[in-house]
Amino acid sequence: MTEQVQRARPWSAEVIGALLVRTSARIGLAWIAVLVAAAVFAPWIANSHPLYLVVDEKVSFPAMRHLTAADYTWFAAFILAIFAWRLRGPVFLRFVGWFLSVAIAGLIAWVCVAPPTLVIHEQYRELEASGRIDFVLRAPIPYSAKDYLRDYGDTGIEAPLAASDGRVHWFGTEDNGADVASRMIHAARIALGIGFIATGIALIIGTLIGGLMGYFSGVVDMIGMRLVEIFEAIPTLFLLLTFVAFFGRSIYMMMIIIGITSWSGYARYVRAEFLRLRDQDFVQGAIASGLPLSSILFRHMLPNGVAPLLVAASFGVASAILAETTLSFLGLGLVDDPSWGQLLNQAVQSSTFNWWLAVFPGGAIFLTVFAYNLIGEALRDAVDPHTQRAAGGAAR
Amino acid sequence: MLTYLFRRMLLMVPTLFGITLVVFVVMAAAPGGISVQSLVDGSNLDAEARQALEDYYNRLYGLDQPAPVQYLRWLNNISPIGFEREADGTLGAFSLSKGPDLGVSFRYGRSVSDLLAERLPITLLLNLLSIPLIYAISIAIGVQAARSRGGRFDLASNVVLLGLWSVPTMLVGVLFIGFFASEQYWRWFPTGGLIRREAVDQTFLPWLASGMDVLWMLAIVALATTLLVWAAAAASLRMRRLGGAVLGGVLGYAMAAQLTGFAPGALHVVLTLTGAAVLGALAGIPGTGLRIALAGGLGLMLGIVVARAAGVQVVQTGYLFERAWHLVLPVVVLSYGSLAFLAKLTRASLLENLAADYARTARAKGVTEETVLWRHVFRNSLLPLITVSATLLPSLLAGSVIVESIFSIDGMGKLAVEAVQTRDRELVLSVTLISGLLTLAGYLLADIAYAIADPRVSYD
Amino acid sequence: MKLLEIRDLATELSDGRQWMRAVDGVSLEVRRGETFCLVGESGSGKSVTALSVMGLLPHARHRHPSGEVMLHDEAGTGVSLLGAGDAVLSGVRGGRIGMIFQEPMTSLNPVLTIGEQIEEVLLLHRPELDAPTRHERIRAALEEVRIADAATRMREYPHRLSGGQRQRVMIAMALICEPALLIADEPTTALDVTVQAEILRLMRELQQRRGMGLLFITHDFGVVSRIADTVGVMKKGQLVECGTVADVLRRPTHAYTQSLIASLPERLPRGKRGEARAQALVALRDLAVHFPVRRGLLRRVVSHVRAVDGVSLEVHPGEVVALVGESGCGKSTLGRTLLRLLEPSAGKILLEGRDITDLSHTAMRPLRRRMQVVFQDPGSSLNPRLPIATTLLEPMRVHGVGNDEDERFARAAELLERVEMPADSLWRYPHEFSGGQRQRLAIARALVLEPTFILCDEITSALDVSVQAGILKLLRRLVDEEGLGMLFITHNMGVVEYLSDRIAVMHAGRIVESGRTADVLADPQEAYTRTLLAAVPRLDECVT
Repeated sequence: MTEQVQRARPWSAEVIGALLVRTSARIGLAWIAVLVAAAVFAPWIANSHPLYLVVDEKVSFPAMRHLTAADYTWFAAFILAIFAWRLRGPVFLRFVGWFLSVAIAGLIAWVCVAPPTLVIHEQYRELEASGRIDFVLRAPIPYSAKDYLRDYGDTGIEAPLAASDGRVHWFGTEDNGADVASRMIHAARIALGIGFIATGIALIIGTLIGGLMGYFSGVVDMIGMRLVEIFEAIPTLFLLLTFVAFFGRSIYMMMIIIGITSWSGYARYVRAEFLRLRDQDFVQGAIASGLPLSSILFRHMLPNGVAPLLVAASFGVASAILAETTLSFLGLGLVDDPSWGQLLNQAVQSSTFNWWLAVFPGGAIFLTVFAYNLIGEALRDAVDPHTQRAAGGAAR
Repeated sequence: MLTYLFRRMLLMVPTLFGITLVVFVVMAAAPGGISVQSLVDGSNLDAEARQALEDYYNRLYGLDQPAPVQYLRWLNNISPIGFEREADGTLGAFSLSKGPDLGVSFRYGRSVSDLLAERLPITLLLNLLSIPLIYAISIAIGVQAARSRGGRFDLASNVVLLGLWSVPTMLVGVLFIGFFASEQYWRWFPTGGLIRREAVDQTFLPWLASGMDVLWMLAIVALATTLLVWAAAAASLRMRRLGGAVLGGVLGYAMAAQLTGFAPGALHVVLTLTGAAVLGALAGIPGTGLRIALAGGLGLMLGIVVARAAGVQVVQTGYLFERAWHLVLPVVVLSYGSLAFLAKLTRASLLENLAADYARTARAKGVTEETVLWRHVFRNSLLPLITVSATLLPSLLAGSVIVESIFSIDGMGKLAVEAVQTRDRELVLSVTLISGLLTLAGYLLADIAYAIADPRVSYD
Repeated sequence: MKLLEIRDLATELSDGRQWMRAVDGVSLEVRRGETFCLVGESGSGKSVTALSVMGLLPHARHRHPSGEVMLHDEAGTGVSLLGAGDAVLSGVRGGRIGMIFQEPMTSLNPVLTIGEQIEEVLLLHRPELDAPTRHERIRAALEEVRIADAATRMREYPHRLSGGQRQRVMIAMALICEPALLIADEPTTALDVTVQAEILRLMRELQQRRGMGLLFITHDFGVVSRIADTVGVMKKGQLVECGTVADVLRRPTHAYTQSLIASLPERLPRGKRGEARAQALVALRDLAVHFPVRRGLLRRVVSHVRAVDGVSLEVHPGEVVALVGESGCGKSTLGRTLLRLLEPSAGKILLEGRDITDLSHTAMRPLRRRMQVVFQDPGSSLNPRLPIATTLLEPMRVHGVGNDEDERFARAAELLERVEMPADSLWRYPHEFSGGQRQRLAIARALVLEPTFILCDEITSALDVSVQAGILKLLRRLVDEEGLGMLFITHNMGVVEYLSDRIAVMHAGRIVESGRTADVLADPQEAYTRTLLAAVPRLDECVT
């Protein structure tokens, strides 16, 4: 009988370590990183407003001036995330801290930031045509997501690199004339945002209800199970359609709605975990020691029941993104804001098949969903006690 | 068992009640709610006529009454026992044999039951065709992956299946329609609908020009199929891979030629290489059964194509094949997601059971590995598949919504979207009810199937 | 005459990344008509040896760098088994060597009937038999292993049988083709003591009647002394000692064997025990715990499961009371009800004279300091997410023990010392420790609130003998030095003998007999107690 001497880290660090070892997870995370970069730096990657402009010997930074509150918030979230990653401390607290600080930053940005309300994308091209520009530094994709190229007339849908009047559209243009590549990059925000927030809402609702059901049983369990069954049996897509059709199409509404329709799975997991944990020895021991209920629930039971939730959440983010694209595809999505599903919708609108509107946005959707599914599968292997390296493989 | 069935069916009622209540609350709570506005909007009437129309609709459908009353009226309508409904919308006498009345659709003006009777069979046709297909293919793939656990087929299929599962349905649908069913690219499949109008009048089976044509057709098809099946079964791995690559390359070239002529171009290169790679890989997979099935299918299709190219005249394709041809794309788009999921589940379940104690006991008795797989492990591995089948029908119904929209099929999914878009109260509630009923029935069937399959489970 | 010969067997197992040597140069011989017991603690490689003989190790995860396994038949010709082809192995398995395993509950295929599973062996190895003959043989085999009503039982599914019955079916299945050798991998470890006794007797009988060789793997020296002719002791993949049962058990030569035998609770030195003091610490009066059984459409209560049915018991300070019984007798339920983790249906619970049966949870809280518990499974006795320091400090904080954090830390460090764990354990996580160490930490957690009563629910059942010895000594010391009262639930008689002052025997929810340990063990009054004691295999049993 030997004594184990290997030093181990807390569970969360172990899981993250096991996750990063797997190639599939790395590929998934790499793509997510690309998306995050696209979302955070969108105003600098795809913008009609030049980054640096000298006109009549006057220097200006049009891109900076037109930054919206959302742009600032995304950037702040990025910087704060780097901080949170570098700090020490339990993962959960760091995450909550990051989230709260981003919310505060968002609030401040919303109050303070006031970009000019009237945005004229064409002015720079006009300036260039009239030769008044001394020096200009443009974004790599010099078109904003909402720049409908009115100065070129009604351009409509154009194939990639097919535009004749000196414009270069790597991914072509869409129905209203906007550049597809630019819209795709800005749409990354919608995809990421909806994925996380909708799943987050569903997780919170599901954990609360599932936890109550699992711990208290009895009447609470019965009522909860009926609720879960109802939400499971309602055809989700249909409920989503109903919600969106009746309540309107703002992005926040969509996030909340997708969250409300998908909590039942998480509730089941949490309930099952809590039922199992209730009989675990250390929980019984905690009760026998007279520890308060809050400690038993939040310190002893919940952290140990989190594993299947993580896996489910990863797949859940993928399905939330798919839900949003489906809605957009059916014509019930966001109106003006760019979204991948909306671009996909345009692929079959006209009588011709515009393959670039299907392949590129569709490809982005596929890669994103694939990435989350890869991560979900890798997580499942990482937290499964059977496949886990016996971290401490305590022999008898 | 009977008491259990009874209990479950009784429990369905409050759940259905809850579902329709939730949907109704959503409708009623929305800005604008369920009102007469959506019906009269857009019609150019003067104020008086408009008012009269509004009053008429309000009375007919009870739209001016408070939401809870509207819901109760609807409940009364659908229950077989209740107050009868007069033609002008008021409530009549109480009757015990009223029969369920799903109401009249605002948008179509027709009775909802008629609409559903038209549309439901179509959706069911699509879904019921998909289910056996999904199970058959996913079990085949899953078994093969479990057999070659850790091997190349296993790892490759794992990634491919996960990828398939991740591709959004609408993307696949759009790409299929765009590339394989359109004027601009390969026009192999019809663009939409479930049947051509002309085909309804055609004979059921294909009608060829003469007896000789029939013989030729059968001969060529049989030859092609036998050749490919023999090659798939008997040839060595290297020969198979080579043959598959050559065949794939030729097919790829032909595909490109159909679009842009025989002169080689970029498209030709891409398609030839892709074809060679895909068919070469498929020819090399380890499971003989799978290979034979694939080869057989390919042989049939190639046989028909070659026969027609060689001059066999087909006067009419026939109702059966026209129907089938229209169904191919929608069914494929509908099924591939669930197929990928089930295949992975089958593989995981098989692997778990192959490592179980009872499998070890079987081996200790001298049972060969193949027999352990098919006699002992297979049935145990099916159990989680049965549990999952409960959720299969709802997800297929949801998928139908997208597929029917893309392929312009007038099924229930499309009806649901239209109902929601036009705020058609009766239709929305009825569709919810039917979907909920189908879903709950699916759960119940799955539970019963599980109880039959697993002798350990008994419901008292 | 030689039946099975293993020469210099080496087996390496892989966990996906590294190879580990599980069996390292083991050589042994099993003769016809002889029982060879392979003993060792967990991880010693005894099961792997047996699986290597049969070639049943997981396909891609094992290899044999060296070794030879020969199965000899009556003519003397041998078949080499190691690395043999599938056809050879399939013929040998079930036909010439039968094997039974440890977990009867999962070793039978749940979707096939028993008859079908036994018939399969006959179809494989005796294909010349026709259906009626096969039927007859199966029935005869089941009757031989004493399954009542064999003809009807044949058509039943495994889940309808108890653990003991399933193990009998496994034996019938393994022996139906009359193999020359039977390998048994801890077949009775998961069974109750009385059932174990019967199965052992059955196996001995069958072996002697057929002149079979039996390779029996176990960790229980009592079983060894009951059935073995030859014994081999394994440690870390090596066979450290081998000889007749008398030699190895009475006059062990290797240091490891000696220490193993010395660690058996029957052999542990016993100090002087004091007499029980006056007032009972914990007293149960006619305690009953009934669970309702619901049936029917409306889930009405039709009857009750009487888990605990009128139990009266007392535990005094400074004494250990052992609560013994087989699985399902209600002893764990009793323990949990005592701690108010389950609610009693009737009766009274008294703690230090005070009636705590009906107290509300808030009223109970300060009293919970006085009674603590340690559970059986080292894997789940500590919260995996918390470092040991938090596990020890949290109860102190909640109950206001100690004036500040420093004082609490000092107490925690002191406790660790008392349970013989290093002080830096405070900063580690539970999965860094072995099973025995975790149980010590669990004991520390129980002691942190300075209780007067501790309930130990089979806390050493999942541990190796040598580890168990250390924990038992620790417990005895704690009781003697601090005057704790302890209720120790167990089914291991050796532990009872060493550890307890008084014993209570429980059966079907009732206390059948109780009294001073020495008295009850020497002269049991009740029939059940006698059966129970007779069934326990003792080290001193071995003949010669």
